[in-house]
Amino acid sequence: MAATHARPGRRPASASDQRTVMECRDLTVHFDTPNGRISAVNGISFDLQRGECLGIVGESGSGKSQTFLAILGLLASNGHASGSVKLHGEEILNVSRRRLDAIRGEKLAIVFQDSITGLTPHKRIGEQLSEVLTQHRGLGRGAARAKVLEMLELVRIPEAEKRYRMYPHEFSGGMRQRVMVAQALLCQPDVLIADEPTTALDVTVQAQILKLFKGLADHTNTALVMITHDLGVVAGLCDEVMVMYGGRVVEHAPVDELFYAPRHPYTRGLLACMPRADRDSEELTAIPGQPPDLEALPPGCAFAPRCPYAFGRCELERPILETAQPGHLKACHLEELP
Amino acid sequence: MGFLTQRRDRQLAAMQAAGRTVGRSLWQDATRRFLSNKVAVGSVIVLLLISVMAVFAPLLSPHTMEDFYWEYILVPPTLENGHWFGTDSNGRDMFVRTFYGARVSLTIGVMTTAVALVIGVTWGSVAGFFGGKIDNFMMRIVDVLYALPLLFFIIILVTVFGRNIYLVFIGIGAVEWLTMSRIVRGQTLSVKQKEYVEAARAIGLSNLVIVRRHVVPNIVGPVIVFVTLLIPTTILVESYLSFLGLGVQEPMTSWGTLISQGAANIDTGPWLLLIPGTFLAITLFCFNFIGDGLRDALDPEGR
Amino acid sequence: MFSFVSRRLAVALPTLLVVIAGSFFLMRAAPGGPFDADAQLEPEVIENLRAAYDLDKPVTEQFMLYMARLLRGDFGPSITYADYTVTELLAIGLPVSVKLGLTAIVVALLFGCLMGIISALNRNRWIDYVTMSIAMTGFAVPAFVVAPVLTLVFGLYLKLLPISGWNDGALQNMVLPVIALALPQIAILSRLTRGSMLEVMRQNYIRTARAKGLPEYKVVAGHALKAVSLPLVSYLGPAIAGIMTGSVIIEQIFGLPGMGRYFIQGALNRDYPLVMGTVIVYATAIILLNLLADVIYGYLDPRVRRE
Ligand SMILES: Nc1ncnc2c1ncn2[C@@H]1O[C@H](COP(=O)(O)OP(=O)(O)O)[C@@H](O)[C@H]1O
Ligand code: SF4
Ligand SMILES: [Mg+2]
Repeated sequence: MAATHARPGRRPASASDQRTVMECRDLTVHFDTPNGRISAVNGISFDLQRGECLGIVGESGSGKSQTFLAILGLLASNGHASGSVKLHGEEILNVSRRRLDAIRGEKLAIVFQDSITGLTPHKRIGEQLSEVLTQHRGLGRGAARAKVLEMLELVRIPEAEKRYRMYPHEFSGGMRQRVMVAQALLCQPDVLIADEPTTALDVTVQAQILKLFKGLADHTNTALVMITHDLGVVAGLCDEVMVMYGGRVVEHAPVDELFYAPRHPYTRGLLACMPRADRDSEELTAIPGQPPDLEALPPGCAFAPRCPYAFGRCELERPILETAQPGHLKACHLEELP
Repeated sequence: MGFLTQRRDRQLAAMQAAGRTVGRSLWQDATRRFLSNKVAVGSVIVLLLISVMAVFAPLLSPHTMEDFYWEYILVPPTLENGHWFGTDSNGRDMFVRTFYGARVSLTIGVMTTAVALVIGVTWGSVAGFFGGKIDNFMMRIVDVLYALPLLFFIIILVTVFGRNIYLVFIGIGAVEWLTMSRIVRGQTLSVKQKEYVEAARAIGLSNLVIVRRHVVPNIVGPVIVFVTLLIPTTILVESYLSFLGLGVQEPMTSWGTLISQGAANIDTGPWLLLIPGTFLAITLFCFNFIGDGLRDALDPEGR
Repeated sequence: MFSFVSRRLAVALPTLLVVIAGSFFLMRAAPGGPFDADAQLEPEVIENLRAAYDLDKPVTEQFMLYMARLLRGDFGPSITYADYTVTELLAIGLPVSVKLGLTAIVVALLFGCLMGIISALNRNRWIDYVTMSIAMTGFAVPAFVVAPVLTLVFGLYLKLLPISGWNDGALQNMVLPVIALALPQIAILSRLTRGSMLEVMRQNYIRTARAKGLPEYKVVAGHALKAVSLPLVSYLGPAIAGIMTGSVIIEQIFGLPGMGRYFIQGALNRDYPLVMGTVIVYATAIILLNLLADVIYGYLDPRVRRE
């Protein structure tokens, strides 16, 4: 199935392609700081299909969050985005606030990592959720409330009636994250972005929340973007995976191919870091070295200082993202991994 | 008390911010950052100038504190007869009086702050170091005192015990230590819980050594910032008391006393108020800028 | 909420007691007494006077007597204003001070918050710099410098406003004292508001609110304002205390017949009952208003309420 998907760089998706929800082309994000310009995201392209789940994987600081914050028009005031992002063929990058307000929460929704600070502390959960419906659907209080309660039950929040009147601090971390998911789903968005939704939770709760997303991905037409630094999250959930490093995509492949035949040394490194049943946790490795300095990216491959296979060309010439085999993109000078 | 409480929030925030910084080399960084802050450095220079003038100005002028010029009453500032800041309603030279007042006001500011510093640091560090019931009790006392209209106590103190400059020191100092004790306690508590202090305990270092090596260096930063913000507060309280006629008494004078006399002559000699008022304001400005500069230098991320 | 308030009241009453005892014994600890200045009085007369005010008894007994009277709501007779009881003097002074203080607080809150919000929304633009410079000036120029300058400019030069007197709280008599009293608070409040606003707008939940598609005015009004007001409410206590102490000096400068004047007169003349009366009223006001601030805080922040 994955092989039939439109691939960035291989063929530009046509507007008539009904399955394509979002096309992102050459998205670039930089921040102006007192110490100079930071290139957080450099020329990222991808497509999202209806009902598809795309995983975005990379170490912290690799530009995962900023990519999607840029798409949502939520960059910090010193951030600037360029390129093109189309939602159902309509350009949505750098459009007016009014237009953004109509799209956000309605067609594009996001679940942030930190549910503790992500919900307004002095507002009841019920109000926070129902205002989404009031805003986008013009529902009255009663109707909004009914819909919210329905959604709270859908994400398995017990005693929804009671919870409706409670404040965020009265919820556990897992429950708050469910609330965030419910809030994002209220308008049945075309694209749901989940930015490390389980990172702040403990392992059992993580599994429950992931199950929730799994159910979503399987039973709705919403395209899901799962941002994570943990390849394990991606395994059971996503159709495709995009691996990011230093603000660039280094590998983009269907999930099975990525796991069984990675084509980029960084991906292989990430896979080696995954805890596995057949391996002692002591053998767990982390990729040695530091993530690149975004203020001064090297002219060659950003991964070169940490790459076990780096050779002469790597430090001079930046590898471009190219097709390794149909449906599988990589940015590495090596034809095959040794 | 308004003047005492007005700045508390800001001061507390400043303290907590500055408190996050520890370490030797950070002091060098902090110095460098402070020196690159033009407003703060400018303020230091202005304050130094005022202090130098407070010491030497009476020598520069042909007049003295004791001279009464009956033929020159309420002369506006002029370059002619050496009355650069004019004269007051008794024919006394305002240039000399203004800088003499600076001497008294600055001294009171520093001395009362020292009193507050000693009480506050002792109280706060004892509470923080011993913790538990002792801490609870000591801080409860601070809470109660916080809620009291303490400036009214100072007024009662100086009116019934006589208007004595030492009473002013002690009175203001005894009131202003509260915030200091809270800051020091907070710092002490947090340092105490740090691993390296536990480690020091584990290898059997005595309390005194731990305090000297670990607690004191951590407290110094916030305390310095607080002191630069406390000095203007105490100068302000002294001026307030002197304005009411309860602080510094003739023949001594302070900025508050001068401002009070200026206010009484506002229609005939506005300069009597404007000149000491301006010096007071500049001094308060400078201390605040220095305090802000120190806070920023000690806590660069807090910005 | 009820237990929250009653717990605060339980602390407030002992605090008030400390104030009363503290000022009572402080005044009597000093050598001398209220009639020292009247050198021309015969010693017997002074003895009689002292007896009339219970001053001949041991200090602890005086305190008991005073407390017993106080519990009946009687502040005793004034010594300086011989024809008045302290209660009567307070009845004259309190309305003046309350009107002045409340007006100043309201003006300070209004302008302080407005300036702070405007500054924060226009961060690092010229309007921000102008407002914050004004705030800084209000911070460093004390009320007792501002007040005479105001009388000089508006009263003596421009002849727009009266420079002293109360005139039953007529508007033109209120303007200058209120400005002088509110100015330092405006300075602090505007800085506080600006800082708080900037801090809150950085929070993650603001980003969430925007991500939901709310227009900016709904983000600010619905998700930011309550949190922005929290530090302002915490500052309310100190602000009130500041206005009160400020009013002592402002009443003096503008010759207003408020509590502050009676307090200073009482202290200068060692009019024990009068000083006690004014201090008790000031302390009660401060304690109650702080309590009110706590309640408002609890109302705004659900996390505090539940504790
Ligand atoms: N407001 C900002 N100013 C400067 N740099 C920023 C800003 N926001 C994010 N960045 C930088 O952008 C980079 C990418 O961040 P992000 O996309 O959040 O990483 P992650 O992959 O962990 O989600 C980070 O290295 C961060 O330093
Ligand atoms: S291009 Fe070179 S350095 Fe970069 S990942 Fe490939 S082999 Fe390693
Ligand atoms: Mg992130």
